[in-house]
Amino acid sequence: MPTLAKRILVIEDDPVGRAMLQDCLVARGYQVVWASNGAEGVELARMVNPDLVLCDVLLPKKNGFEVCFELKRGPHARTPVVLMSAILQGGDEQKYAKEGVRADAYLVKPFPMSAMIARIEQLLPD
Amino acid sequence: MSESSRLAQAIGLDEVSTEAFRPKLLAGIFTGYATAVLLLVIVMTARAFDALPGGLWPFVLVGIKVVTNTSAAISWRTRTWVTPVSALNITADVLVMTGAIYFTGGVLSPLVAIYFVEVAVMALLTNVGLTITTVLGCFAMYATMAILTHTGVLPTVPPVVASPDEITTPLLGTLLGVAALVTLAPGIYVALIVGQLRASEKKLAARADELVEAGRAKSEFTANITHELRTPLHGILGLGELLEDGVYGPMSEKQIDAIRTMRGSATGLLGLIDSLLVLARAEALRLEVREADVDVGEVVASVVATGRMLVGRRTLDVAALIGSDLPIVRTDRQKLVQILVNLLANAIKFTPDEGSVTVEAALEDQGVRIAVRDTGRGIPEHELARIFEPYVQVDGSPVREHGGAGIGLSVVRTLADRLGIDVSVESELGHGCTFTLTIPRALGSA
Repeated sequence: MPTLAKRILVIEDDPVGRAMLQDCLVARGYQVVWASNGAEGVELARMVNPDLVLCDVLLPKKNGFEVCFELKRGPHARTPVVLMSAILQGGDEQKYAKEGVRADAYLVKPFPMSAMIARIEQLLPD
Repeated sequence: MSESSRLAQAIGLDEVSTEAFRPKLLAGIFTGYATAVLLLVIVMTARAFDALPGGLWPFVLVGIKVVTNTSAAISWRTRTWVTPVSALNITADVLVMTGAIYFTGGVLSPLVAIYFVEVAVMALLTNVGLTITTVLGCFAMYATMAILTHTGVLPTVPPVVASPDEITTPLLGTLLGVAALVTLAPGIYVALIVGQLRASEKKLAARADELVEAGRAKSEFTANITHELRTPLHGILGLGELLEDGVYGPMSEKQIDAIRTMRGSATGLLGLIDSLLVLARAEALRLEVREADVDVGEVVASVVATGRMLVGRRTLDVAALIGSDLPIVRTDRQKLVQILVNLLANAIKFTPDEGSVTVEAALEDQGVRIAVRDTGRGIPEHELARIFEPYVQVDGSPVREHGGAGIGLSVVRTLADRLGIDVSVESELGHGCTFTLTIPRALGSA
């Protein structure tokens, strides 16, 4: 039986960054759905049930940390969340990790696509 | 310094001639007139009801006060002899008050409390030294009057009233008038001064808030600008990587080469942004110095070890000649390390393969001298003065074959200045250059 393509939800407001992630992930055989702000992202996660969420930190409506918190507290508690940001200073992760809810990985932009793929493959073993 | 100005300083009188004291001096002069007039009104009213003894003394005393107070006003206006005239005016106050006390019954006078007006006004307008001097002056004059009367040198003045039963209504009015003067004058001053203090306190608090806000805004600005610069770079680098990996179709070797060059430039730009951020942060922190006892020999050795790692696969010799008699100095270790690392990294960067970089540390007369010598191409003489400025590399272009932002040496200069370390550079074109740090002996610890 052929394995179904893993579904990744990309939440990113920058259209260039979004298109790039989509192209990269699709080329690797992932199915990609995307949202351009935090609130939309949380909504979409409920509908499409992704295998992994790739989310920017600085987003309109809800920021990445809030998205992560809502997903992890809801029915998507076990869905890996990877946060991306161009500024992620030491201590930010602790500062925003509400009630011990943390993302599964943090990527600081600009990160190599290969590093992102490696991290995703680690979080989504077959 | 003359005897009198030394005395003025000792008792705090020198403050009255300062520019900042002018409004207070004026307030003191007004208080002088007001008190004299009020006292005269009270005394004359009391006399009209036969509550106080007669005589010319009230006019003489108020006359003295008006003369000295007017001299003070003139000296205030013309800014001449402010200190001696003020001293005279304060002395006259105490003398006039003692006179009023003497003529209204000496030690049994109901006016003794008027000394309090003088002491309170001095305490509120001037400083501790002048207030204590005034208190002592009041006491000395009162005691002199008491002793002179007691020993018969001064004639005894009969008391206004011998027992409480003899207090008439007019006398009671006089006593109440004096009490009102004694409590009101200092009371008004206290209210005014407390009001002023509150206002300046509020101003200070507002200023502190502004400063905190400015600091926060600055660091937010740095964070924002970094975010704004890194985001598009993420697009350039990521898409370049995808292109190179053939995600958008097969690429020719020439296309791949071009993309690699493009990615290299973008990575260079990223390094530049990060350097700028470091510089902005250093400025924001105002380069706070944390002093400790630092073993210079150990610092040089560890920096040279780090420098050898920077050489990597290049064929470049990094040597250290560290004297065995290097002292412990009182300085900021981290900043000293950063200075040396920047100098060493600079030397390594600009020295071609097969060349050498030597770090020499020795104890000399002026202090510890640390020289970083390289066999690079050197720096032309006309450039030597500029190399410590930010964003300058020797050929003038901001980023050239050697890469880097050209801020390493400006960081060295800034940090060295902060630590009181002297930095100098010598160069012979084509034969390399030598950067020399001198840690002065004064920084040495026991």
